[in-house]
Amino acid sequence: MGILIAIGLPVLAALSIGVFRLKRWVFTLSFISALGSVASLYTQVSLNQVYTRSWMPNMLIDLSFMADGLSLFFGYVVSVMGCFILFYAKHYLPKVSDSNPRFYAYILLFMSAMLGTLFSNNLLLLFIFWELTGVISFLLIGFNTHTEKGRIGSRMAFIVTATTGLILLVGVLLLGILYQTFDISLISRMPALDNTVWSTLAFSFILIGVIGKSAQFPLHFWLPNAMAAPTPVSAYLHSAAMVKLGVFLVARCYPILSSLDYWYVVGIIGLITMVVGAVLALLTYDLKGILAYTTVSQLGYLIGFYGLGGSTGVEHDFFHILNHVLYKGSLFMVAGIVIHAFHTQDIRKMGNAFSAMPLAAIACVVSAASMAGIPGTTGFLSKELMLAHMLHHPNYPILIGALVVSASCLVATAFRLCLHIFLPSKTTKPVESQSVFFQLPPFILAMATLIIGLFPKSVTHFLSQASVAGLHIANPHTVSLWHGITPELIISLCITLSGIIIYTVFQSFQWRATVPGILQLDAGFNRGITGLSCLSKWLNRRFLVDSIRAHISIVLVFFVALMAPLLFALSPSIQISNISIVYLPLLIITGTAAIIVSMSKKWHVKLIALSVVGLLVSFVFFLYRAPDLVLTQLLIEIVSLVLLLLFFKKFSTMKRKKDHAVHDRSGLSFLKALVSIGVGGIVFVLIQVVNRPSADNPIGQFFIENTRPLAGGSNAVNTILVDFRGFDTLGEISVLFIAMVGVMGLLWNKRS
Amino acid sequence: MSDLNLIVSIIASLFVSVGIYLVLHRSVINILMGLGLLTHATNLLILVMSGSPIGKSAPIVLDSGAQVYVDPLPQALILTAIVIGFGVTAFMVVFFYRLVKENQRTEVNES
Repeated sequence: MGILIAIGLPVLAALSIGVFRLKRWVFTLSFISALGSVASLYTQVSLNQVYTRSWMPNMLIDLSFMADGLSLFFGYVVSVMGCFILFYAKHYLPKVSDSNPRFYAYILLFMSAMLGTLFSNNLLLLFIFWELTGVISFLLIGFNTHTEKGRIGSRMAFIVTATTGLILLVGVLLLGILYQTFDISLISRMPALDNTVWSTLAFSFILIGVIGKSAQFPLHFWLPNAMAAPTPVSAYLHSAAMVKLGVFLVARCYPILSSLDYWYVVGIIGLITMVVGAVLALLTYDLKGILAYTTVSQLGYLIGFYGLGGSTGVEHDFFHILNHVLYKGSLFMVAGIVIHAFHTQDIRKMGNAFSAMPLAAIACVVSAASMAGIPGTTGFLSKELMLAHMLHHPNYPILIGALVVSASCLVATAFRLCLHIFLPSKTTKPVESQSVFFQLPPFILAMATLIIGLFPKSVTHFLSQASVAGLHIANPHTVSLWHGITPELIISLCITLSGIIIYTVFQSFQWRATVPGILQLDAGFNRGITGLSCLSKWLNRRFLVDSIRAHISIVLVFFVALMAPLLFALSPSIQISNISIVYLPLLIITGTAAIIVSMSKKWHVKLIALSVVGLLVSFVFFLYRAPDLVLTQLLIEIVSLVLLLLFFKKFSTMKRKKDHAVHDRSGLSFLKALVSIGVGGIVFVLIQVVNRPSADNPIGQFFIENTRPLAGGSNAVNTILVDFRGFDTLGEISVLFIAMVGVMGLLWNKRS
Repeated sequence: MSDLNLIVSIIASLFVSVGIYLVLHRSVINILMGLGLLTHATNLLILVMSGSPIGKSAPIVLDSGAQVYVDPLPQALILTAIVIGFGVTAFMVVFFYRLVKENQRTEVNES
């Protein structure tokens, strides 16, 4: 139940904000519900607790939630960070604004969706929550609906994450079929998957979902574009919560998928992303863009870590994640304060900000130090652990090389952040000082970075309690600040030095380099989106014509073109007998009459020919032993003739002032003839294909046998109409009635 | 496929061709006639599905012992179709009559 309370409280608060259109106390309500969520996780949820309620049993979807170490750890991260973000947002948002309640409601809904994803015990439920986070992030990124950047950024983020999410669904379904269940706690107790085509496919689809959600290369481009969001959103979604979902899913699937041959692909993608993100962070001058690229890099670091994992499991993964959440959340919040003060996101126009925001400056220095891996911070420990992990890997030169490159770039970026924003500068004026409460959340996070960095055992003890069977190894090494002069420490030193060198080099270039065109994948993405709409406009212009006749012709041409190959493939099975002379006159007379109908210019000739056609049809009915049809057809033919004569007489005497009296060009006539002959030919072949002697047991036999015993009549056609299918005949009478009403309406309604 | 069925299917597809050709015209008289021909074609198409009638008798069950009858179901369907077809024709004729009267022309507007 505790899980349900944790997920449900924020939803309730968000709904009440929306339904009652609250204007005041919105922040208090949101903050209390978020705190309540944390509290219920802490007091009501214990490890390995499962809550199941049947929902759609036929589709194997249950409302099933489970708390294991992994979900509980992520759950705490998400809910505690949610509280920080809410507090920060209160000071970030304008004091009075109509859209503030909407913002809080979205954040709370997002928090619930995140918690739902984390605690889902059913793969399909997990997918539903996964997509919900995408939908809400779309609303949050595009929160500033009046800016074009916001709209484009949210559209891009949504298209990328939703599309890859759908691919993930295919992978999840495959996984469910392979295991015969979607229950995660059951699956995790079953043996890992063997290397088959299906398991590899499931793995690749899930990996694509991870790549999209966690902004891995080559889909990393949506994250910097999502920075159009308000900064609290960036700090929450794009550092602590949503982008971590990919990492979470990798960890979730680790026990069952890591034994696959291709698992190392996860590591490769992660490491490539790590390097690309770190390098790109150097090439941009947008403050939030820099942070976004470092986030991309760090996500690659985390996913790559799982990708390199050993056969028995990994260790200290939670420590790496915690490290990133602490320092990146803090940095984003500092960035928000800085942007608030400078009214620009361009880091080249900043400087001299220390006196205005001392707490934020300290937070920034500590967090940047953590990003750079300076001793005394969690970042240092994380990097040391990672280096130790990599040194044991058979391919360690490449791995270490990748890590050195990316970490050096991050060191340079960290220096740039601290020095360019806070050091005195001649070009910028001092900015107004910011409120202490505004600076408090990043400061607390930075202090946590520092304390855990200095006394890691205070936290690793709790983290090791949350270990998950299959994911973590049994007895992890202890984490300590000082463990002698090891290769890791020497490499760390080299990283710091080369980072300083990179910083000085870029400083001498005045940071003029920009992202190379080949890596501007977002521009290509936008071009593709625009191209799609251009293509559809072009297609519309070509094929959506105003003229009804042209429209019908296009439909018919496609009918012929699509049916012809199919029928051609079926045609060999048709046997055509010789035509006996007896029926030839029938064919000749009917054909002549039909052609006269189409060719004649005079309407009365056409009418006579049409009557001849009708009479010949009734003759065909006679040949087919259908006396009722013959009678009906004759009657109807006579009535129709009278009707047509009545009205055509009026047509011809009416003044046709506005008739164009132009005939279609001969080319157009020829085209019309071609289309109609094509359709006729298709219909002919269709009849031959359909009419193969196949039906051994036609339903008509039933009517023949039962017409006397059941309906008490000898004429089977009559009994079908009035007895067996009496309601159809009622429908027929209704149609006639409707037609009659329509005719009367048309004749009586005489305007003028 | 028996030769009667073949002949009738040729006739039906001929009606389809001519009907489509007429429907693609601009004048309402031609469109009306084309629709009529298409109705005939459809009826014949259903009729052909009842198989060759040769050697069978009409589906009127008399006491005179076992006989082979033609399938009564297509006939019942066609009977319904003929009547509904008449309703549609009547409506269309009056509809076009009104159209021509209001617009002073016997051609369908092209835009």
